Amino acid sequence: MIELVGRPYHSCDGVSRRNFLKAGVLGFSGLSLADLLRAKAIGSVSDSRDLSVILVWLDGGPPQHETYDPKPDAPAEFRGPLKPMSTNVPGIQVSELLPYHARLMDKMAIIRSMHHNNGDHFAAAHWMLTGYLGSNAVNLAPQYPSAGSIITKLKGARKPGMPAYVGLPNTHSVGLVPGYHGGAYLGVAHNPFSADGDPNNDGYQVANLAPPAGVNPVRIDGRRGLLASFDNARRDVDASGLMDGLDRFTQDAFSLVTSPAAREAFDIRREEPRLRDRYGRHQWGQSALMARRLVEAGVRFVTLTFSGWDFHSSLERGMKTVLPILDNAIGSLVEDLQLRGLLDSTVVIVMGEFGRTPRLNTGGVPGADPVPGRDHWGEVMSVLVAGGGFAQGRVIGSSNARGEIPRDRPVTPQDFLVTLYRQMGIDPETKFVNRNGRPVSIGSTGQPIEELV
Amino acid sequence: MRRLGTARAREGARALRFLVGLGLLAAGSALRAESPAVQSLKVVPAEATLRGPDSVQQIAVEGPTADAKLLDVTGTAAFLSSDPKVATVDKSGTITAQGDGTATITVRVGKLEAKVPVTVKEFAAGVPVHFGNQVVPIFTKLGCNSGGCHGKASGQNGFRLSLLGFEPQFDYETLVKEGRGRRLFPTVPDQSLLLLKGTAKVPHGGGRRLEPGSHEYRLIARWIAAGMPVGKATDPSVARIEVYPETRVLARGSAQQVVVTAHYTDGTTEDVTRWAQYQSNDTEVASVAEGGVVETRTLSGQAAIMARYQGQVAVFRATVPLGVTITAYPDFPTDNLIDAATLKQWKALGIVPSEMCTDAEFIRRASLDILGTLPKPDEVKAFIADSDPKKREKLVDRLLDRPEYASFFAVKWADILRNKRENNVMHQRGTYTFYDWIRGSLARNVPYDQFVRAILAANGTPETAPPVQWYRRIRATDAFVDDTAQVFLGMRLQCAKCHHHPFEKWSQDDYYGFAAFFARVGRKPSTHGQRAGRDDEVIFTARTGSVSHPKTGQVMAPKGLGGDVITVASTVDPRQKLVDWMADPKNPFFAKALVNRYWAHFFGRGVAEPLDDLRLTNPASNPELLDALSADFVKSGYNLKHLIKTICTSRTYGLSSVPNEYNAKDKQSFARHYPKRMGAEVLLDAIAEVTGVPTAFGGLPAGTRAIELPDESVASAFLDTFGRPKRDTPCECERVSDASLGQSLMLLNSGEVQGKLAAAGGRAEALTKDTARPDEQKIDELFWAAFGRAPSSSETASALHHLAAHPDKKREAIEDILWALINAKEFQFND
Repeated sequence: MIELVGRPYHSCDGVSRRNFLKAGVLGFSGLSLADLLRAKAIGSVSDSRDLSVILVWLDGGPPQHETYDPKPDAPAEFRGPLKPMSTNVPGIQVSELLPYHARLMDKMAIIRSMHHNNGDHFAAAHWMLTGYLGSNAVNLAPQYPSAGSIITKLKGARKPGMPAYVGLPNTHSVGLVPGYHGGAYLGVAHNPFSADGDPNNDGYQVANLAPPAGVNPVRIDGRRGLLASFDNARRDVDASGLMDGLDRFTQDAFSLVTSPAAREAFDIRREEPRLRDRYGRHQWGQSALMARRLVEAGVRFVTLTFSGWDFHSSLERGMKTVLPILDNAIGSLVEDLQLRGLLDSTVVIVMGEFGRTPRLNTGGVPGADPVPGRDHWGEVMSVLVAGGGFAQGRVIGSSNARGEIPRDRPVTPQDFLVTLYRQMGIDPETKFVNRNGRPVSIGSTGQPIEELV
Repeated sequence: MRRLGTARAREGARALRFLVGLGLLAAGSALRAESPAVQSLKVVPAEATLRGPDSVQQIAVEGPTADAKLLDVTGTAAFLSSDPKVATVDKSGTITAQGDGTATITVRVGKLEAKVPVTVKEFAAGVPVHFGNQVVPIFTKLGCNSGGCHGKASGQNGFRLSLLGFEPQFDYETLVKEGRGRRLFPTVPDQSLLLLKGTAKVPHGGGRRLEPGSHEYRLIARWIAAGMPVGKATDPSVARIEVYPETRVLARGSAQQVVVTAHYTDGTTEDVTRWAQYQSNDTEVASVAEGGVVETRTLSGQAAIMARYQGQVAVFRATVPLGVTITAYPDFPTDNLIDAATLKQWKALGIVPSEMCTDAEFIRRASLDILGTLPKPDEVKAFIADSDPKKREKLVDRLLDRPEYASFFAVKWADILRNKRENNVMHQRGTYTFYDWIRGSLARNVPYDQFVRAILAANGTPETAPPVQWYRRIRATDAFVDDTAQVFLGMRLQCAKCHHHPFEKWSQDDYYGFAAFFARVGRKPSTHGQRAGRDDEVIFTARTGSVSHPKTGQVMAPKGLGGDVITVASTVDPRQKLVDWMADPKNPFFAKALVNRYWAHFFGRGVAEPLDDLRLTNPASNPELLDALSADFVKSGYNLKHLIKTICTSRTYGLSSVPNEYNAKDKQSFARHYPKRMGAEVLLDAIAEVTGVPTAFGGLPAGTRAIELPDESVASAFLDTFGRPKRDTPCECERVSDASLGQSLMLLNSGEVQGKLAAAGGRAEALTKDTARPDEQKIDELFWAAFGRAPSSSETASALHHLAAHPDKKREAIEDILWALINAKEFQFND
């Protein structure tokens, strides 16, 4: 499976994986205290909830039929290769390849009527991650900030000294780094802090956290002393607050580098081997475990990008490869959070940019791979939500008999994000000024999904 | 009920004066102080004509004080009407028509008196209410049609109005014909849903917006009762609005009544003070109470108050001096036109500029600003030692002749011209040749209008005309308009694509008229490029092509913003006509946009800020300065180096950043230098320079500096972390100077920086191997290299102590000192 995720991958839009293998934006999430105080002062943020979020981003677009919305009674060309499985909630079924999910269904909710009717990877990913139609395959540049950037800009880290927004193992959307996970007009300071790398690899390290070769804690101490005696620039020359901001981040960086607690959060080797096994000794499973460690240490928002879901062909073989890994990762994560008492304060979301065509095609690449797959489908898709005080053991909305379109209770990306904002105590009418000088609300047209609360 | 807000504000002010009078509040405590006596009264308007039963007229009362300044005394004036059956007047100074005839309003301030003759016409005849001119402005004023409520594209609760009332016809249809006729009830107007909701008599998500019985309420009710007349298409509309006064110097904690007059297309005028919306660009300096009363606060400075009515805007500018006595104003020669303009403003604001910066500070500042490059220690020392009184001027000349100047400014232009490869190998040749062209043009000092013409009117292939690369990125009608307007005119037109610009006079007509200049941009694949395996395009002038208005479908003729329609023969490229219009010396935007952009480069903020947002309602902090510098730029033949020289040889540019008691809070009048943080490329180059280790960039020759990278796709984690833009937008704001945790970690703890500190052949190694010089001299060298100055004795002592503490690890100890210098803010800032 490492091969699948790691192999050179071309999405159908022709964006080479090289794009996201390059060093990438080491964007980090920085909250200005002034921002936070201002947000609180104008009432756009309340302190009533102190939730963290783990977003599992299934990049490429997972098929609804083979995951959270099986259609056993549909004709074979719609039904697909997999069977359904009953869960511990009567009446709710998921794919037969998701048994761990099935055992924990009473801790989760599934939205089966998410839709935006867009089949362009970029437009769809942007829409799901930001709540707005903005970018597309012609105009790739992010137009709106991601929910992760908005939430962390408004709320900061849950514990001081930790980054607010972290991405791993390979943070991107449709090959763009960090793509629509980023801050757009909120600025690069609100991009996710990159913890990219494979936590399943023994050599996994987050860039610039461990001292570089030849530098040790004693040396860092000595350097810090020197800096204190050289850093004499007058602060009163800077009325912009930038110097103070730098000082604060320098403090945070020192504490991240020198404080054992912060560094340990990023050190997955401290986990019990048996628990690591349970999550799955795979990049995805270990990333999910990292996400739990980070949330535990006070990170506000963790984005896990699990890529390679664009199965235009060989759907069955692909599903049999990826679903068991996903099942282990998500099942262990939800269960682990529950056992540690963290599930109520942590929202777990699993989604991709769109669903897939209800009718199986006849093979993605004629001649090369004639085994059926499914194509892009924004008309309906499923989103899994667990924890954070959201409803449990419930299905919200449904798709029609063949999984083509919402049958009832259609839900839009912004409806969902607005529900998340509200759950976190963020006013969906909060506005930020974009680069045109126009105030843009984070979700003025979304209608909260009351059934999820 | 009338003018409730104003009356309350006035009462507040009176109460305050009363307290001051009683000695309960210290006079001169930045609150409203007792007004100095005025010598006579000036009343605006001097006479008034009110038409129809809804007509009102605000009056403003001012008088000259002993020092010949005009002081607003509207709030302390008493008003009396000679005939309340014709016109009444309230204590805020609003006259309301009551019946046809004439009357006189007497205005009294102390013993002074003035009279305003009033004529009321057409009262009995009752001019019909005009929907677009009278009802819609109420929706706008009350916020019903704002972007957060019924004005958003999806409406609110099934009721949608056009944004800010820009489409009265649409609003009329919605109100009168939709909603099954429940919204309006001509037989019993009070039972209309519109009035019931507006007054919250039936539940309304927006709360109570309309006071029952208010002027607004009665007007809408009268319109409904009259059977909802829509007015004729030929009826006059608002052509422009005017604010009286345009500018005033106001004391802190004082008030100024403004009067807003609408001028209609038929030449008539109407007082709309009450209906206009107001917005201050700096509410810490001044804000606006109901009824157009501008109230200054405790902070000195300047504020622009925008008044907006029916898609037209006008601005009142308040200058609020510090009001602290200055015993002796320092000598500040003004032979540079910049200094004349800044000094004039500082005196008006009652602030004093900082001292001049030192020579060491000046050469570091000028080198970083002009070259993006740290000066070498020898350059700094030679400059300090130079006794030539003209040495600063000569330095600027020398710097402008160096190749780094063109490289550094090419980064700025390549950013906003979006020279972007997006990792597409096929585009690399195009981005590299465009970059070379930009850099070459700047090095040769090609006049700016020619530079712009070569880009906007580019025809050919990347080989024959490198600027066609701009068209590689800019492909759609809206991108042509948005990028051209923002980059070259300092206008953000995006709003006007879909609706009338809320803060400017631009409508969709203006937007699509501007778009029409690009209607005949043709593209086809380049056969030459294809043979070489690239998807190059040829840009050419097509013989036909048009742009239509999205709502009316009308084919638009090319028209510059605020200019006349231009006729273009089919043999002529409309883009040439566009540049003709732009480069006309009378063009109000072109030179100003460039000058403001360059000013911001050197001063850290534009004279107007944001630097590419020169809309009427975002006035420059010092308009005379921007005007004078723009005129000089035009006169110089759009000479970019001349502009930079004028800026960098001004005394204003050469001020120290250390504040004094007068200018500590100054953030916009340039009375001291505002330190800037080095940009990503400059910082990386500076670290390379100080450590003596160049950065290696993949695919580029060794020794290529970060300020010489041709496009955005040259990989560098360092540059991305420090805010190098991806060139997604034409906005310089995409390059952010925000601090972030990742940046701190990169400087503190990265292999990238440590690698430079410890690299073979670097400065740390050289200093370690140098056994000839004593440690003091080496420390001296490090400080000169990093900070452009000698170390203080305590800094030397700390460094020596660190070296002494690590006798067996001297190289590491030197690396540590270098590390600390790089991490100090003095290094990372251009002060």
